Amino acid sequence: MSSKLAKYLTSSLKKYSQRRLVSLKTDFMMHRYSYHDIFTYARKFVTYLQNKNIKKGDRIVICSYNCPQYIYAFIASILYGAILVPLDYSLSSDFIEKIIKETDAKLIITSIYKIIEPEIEIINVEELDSVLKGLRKEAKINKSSDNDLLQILYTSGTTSDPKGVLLTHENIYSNLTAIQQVINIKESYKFLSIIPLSHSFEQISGFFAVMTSGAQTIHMRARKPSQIIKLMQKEKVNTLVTVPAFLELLKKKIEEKARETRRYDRLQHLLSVSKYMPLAVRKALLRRVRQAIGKNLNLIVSGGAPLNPETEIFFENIGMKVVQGYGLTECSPVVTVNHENYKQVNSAGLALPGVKIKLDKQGEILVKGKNITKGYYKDIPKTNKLFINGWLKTGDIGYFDDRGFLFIKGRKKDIILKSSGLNVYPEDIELLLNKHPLVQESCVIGRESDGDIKICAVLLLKSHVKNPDKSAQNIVNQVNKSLEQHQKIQEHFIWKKKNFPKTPTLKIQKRFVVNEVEEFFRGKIRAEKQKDDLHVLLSKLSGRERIKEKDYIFRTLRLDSIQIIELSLMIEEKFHIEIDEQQINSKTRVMDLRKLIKSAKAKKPRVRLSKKYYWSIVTPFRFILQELVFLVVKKYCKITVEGYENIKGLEGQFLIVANHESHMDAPAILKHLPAAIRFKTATAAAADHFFINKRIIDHRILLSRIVKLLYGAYPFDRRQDFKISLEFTGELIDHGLSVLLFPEGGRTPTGKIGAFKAGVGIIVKESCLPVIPVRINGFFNIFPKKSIWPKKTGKVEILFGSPVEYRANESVIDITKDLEKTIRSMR
Amino acid sequence: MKIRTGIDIVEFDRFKERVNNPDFLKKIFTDNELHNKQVESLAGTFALKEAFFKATQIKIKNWKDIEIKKSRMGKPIIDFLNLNLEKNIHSVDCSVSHENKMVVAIVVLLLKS
Repeated sequence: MSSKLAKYLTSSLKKYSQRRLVSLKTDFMMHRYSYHDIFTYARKFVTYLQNKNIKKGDRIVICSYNCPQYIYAFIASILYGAILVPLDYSLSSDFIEKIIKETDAKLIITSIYKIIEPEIEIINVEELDSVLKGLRKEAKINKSSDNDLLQILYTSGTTSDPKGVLLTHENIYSNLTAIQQVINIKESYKFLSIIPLSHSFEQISGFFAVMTSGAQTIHMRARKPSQIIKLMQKEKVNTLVTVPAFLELLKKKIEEKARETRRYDRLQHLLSVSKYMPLAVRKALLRRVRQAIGKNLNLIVSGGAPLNPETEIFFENIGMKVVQGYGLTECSPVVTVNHENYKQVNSAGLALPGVKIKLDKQGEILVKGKNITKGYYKDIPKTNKLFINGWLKTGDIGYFDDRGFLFIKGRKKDIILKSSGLNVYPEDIELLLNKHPLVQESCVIGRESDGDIKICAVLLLKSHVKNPDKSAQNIVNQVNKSLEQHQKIQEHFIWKKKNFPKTPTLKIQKRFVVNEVEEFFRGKIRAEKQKDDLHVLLSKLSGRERIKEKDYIFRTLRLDSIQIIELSLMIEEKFHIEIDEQQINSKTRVMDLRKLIKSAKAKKPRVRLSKKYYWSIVTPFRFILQELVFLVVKKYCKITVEGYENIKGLEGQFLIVANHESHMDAPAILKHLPAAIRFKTATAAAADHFFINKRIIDHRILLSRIVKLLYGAYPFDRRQDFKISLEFTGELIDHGLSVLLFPEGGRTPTGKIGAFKAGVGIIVKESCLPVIPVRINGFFNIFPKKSIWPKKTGKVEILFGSPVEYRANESVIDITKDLEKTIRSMR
Repeated sequence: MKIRTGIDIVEFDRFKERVNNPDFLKKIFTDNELHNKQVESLAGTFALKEAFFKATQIKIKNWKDIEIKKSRMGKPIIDFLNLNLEKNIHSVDCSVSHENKMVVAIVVLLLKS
């Protein structure tokens, strides 16, 4: 007995076994998982569930950013028949704990970056891989049936009672297969996932459809737009599943870039011409434009909210295919979709096969099909209200054209959709605002600004309120305390008229309110633009309206140490630079801070990574050169190797960690590594010593090329470019190379082993690669620091230790100290 | 021998508002410290690190070069990597106290002269 969905998933996990399914970009590493890896972990996770005494039908809450662990936990609970309760990562701990109680969940899967204290079993995605490592793969896993509940998806906010939509295996299966009949997802598709997996739209398109088509998807821990775009370019992403707000943001980025490079007029001109061209010509014509967001991007799937037709046409004109659909969580979720080649701009598309749609007298869209929910969790009254004669009431008003394309005219429930994919229900916020003693009535709208939809509260205050500006701010602050992160009011506006414009049924006519508010903000933006970015940040933190250049950060603005950290995070986000908080002290004024930012901004990364030195065509040259250098080494040193049995015949990727006595260390170590590792090793070399030119004519110009060719050296800088150096390391490891590291950060000046730097611990922990410890003994006497040629001859020992594997939950400091101890104790 | 002290106080409510920000957590705490999901204890860890920086007077605040661990008795222990310092430090002791809305931490260093 097993459900059709479970069978479908298992068969494709087996079918595409060797293909890559999902990659996760963490701070500087790409962690890649094949279909086989995911299946193995999923089966181990089933064992884990059994060990924790979780049974079929038990609820499991999952609250994490998108990651491979999310995927295999999801698959495991589908196969095992556990009911998943996905919650958005940004929800507050109070809300999460409330849902845990309500669903009587037995386990929560979350992240170490989520601070919650539930009374049930808790496991973090970051440690899941290593926890599962030792467990056996469960063989008998298909325990679910079609009518079993697969998940409870919560759609509403906090203040009104949360609604949990019940979705069965059958619901998802019917929707998934219907979509696949219409849209042909190819194995070559590479998705970038930016909407949370707690959203049904992302689940079906970015997860179920991907993994049953042999395609792959990329997850990322960070969610900043600049990082998303960078990853899209680097990973050659060709398919994007997203919400309209994010597309608006992309469009804005492109236009901004065109303005910056003074090509805006040309862009507009090209766009006006390109619409008459066939797709291939459009692509060639606007190649440069597409490069700004990743030239491989071909297909954009938009859902969740109606896409502005202008934006849709914009992306079509620059040579992409845009597919829009319509759906709601209650329909698992897709109802109608446009086809790649048979589409209608501004329309929600054609009904999916197997989904019946009709309109009632008022034009409300009613839906029927196997993809429709059974109802809401533990809420019979709301469930009853959802259906009429077996048809699901969507609450949206629409009409069909004569070809059968559905157009959405309006929504009964107005929802604000943020670029992160989160829904905000205005009535949740209005309810709280209206309860406030100083508020007569309120109206919450979504306003596009800075590339996202901002929550704007329009307040009609009671007539006796004396200081409206101040009271309004207080009201907003108070109400925000009881709202979830994504619901928080970001802007407010005081309605000066006596009443809101209303319909005959006394509903606020939001259209008119929006017009008036937009008018006001347009004026405000003009004023804000003249204000300085830094002042805006500081006034946000200190709560002061006016910031002066001569203000002291601590004394005048009264920022405390936590706020200083926040300030540095905000500066990082706004100006894309890092400043050293330690430089902000009691004497720092606003103008000094500005200087700090300016000098940090002027600093450009001084090093670059060139991968061409790792092409296999280089290997023969490298071999010859290394042997030549080794002839010199051998002339001066009598080398004895110990512990060779520890590394004999090893294959695969390793981190080779050694103490550093002289320039002869690297050639001597490389020479004695097994060939399978030797020619696939990159060496981390001091950036300032080998790579950064200090004069126009510098010996480093030549030197850097020699060491790159000879040892596969790449620049590593512990100080200024530390983050970039880590990223280089991550890229090389992703490229399949081993890395030779000298964690003392330089050659020893005394002959004794110096202290190891934390960098090695970070690399070991993040990469999860086994470490070969190497101890060098004797080079110091022959070729010490500050000499340019070996001084004398002598004996040298190279000791190889057996590979060490560290577990993912060991701390960076412990790993660093342990490695130092290991290498010190090798004799 | 020389003695150095550092002290720091954290207002609990203000700290609690910040823990929803993953960027904040990531900047300050090591993964191991984050395994303990009690906000009180994180506030204590934060205060201890701040007090340690004050006592050592080091220039570059690398929050993750220091890790706060617990002894079997529950007493906090400071583990740190900045080994140029370790040469001068003979021993370290620290203590944290929680009271209603405040967390206070003190660090005492004994330096080799």
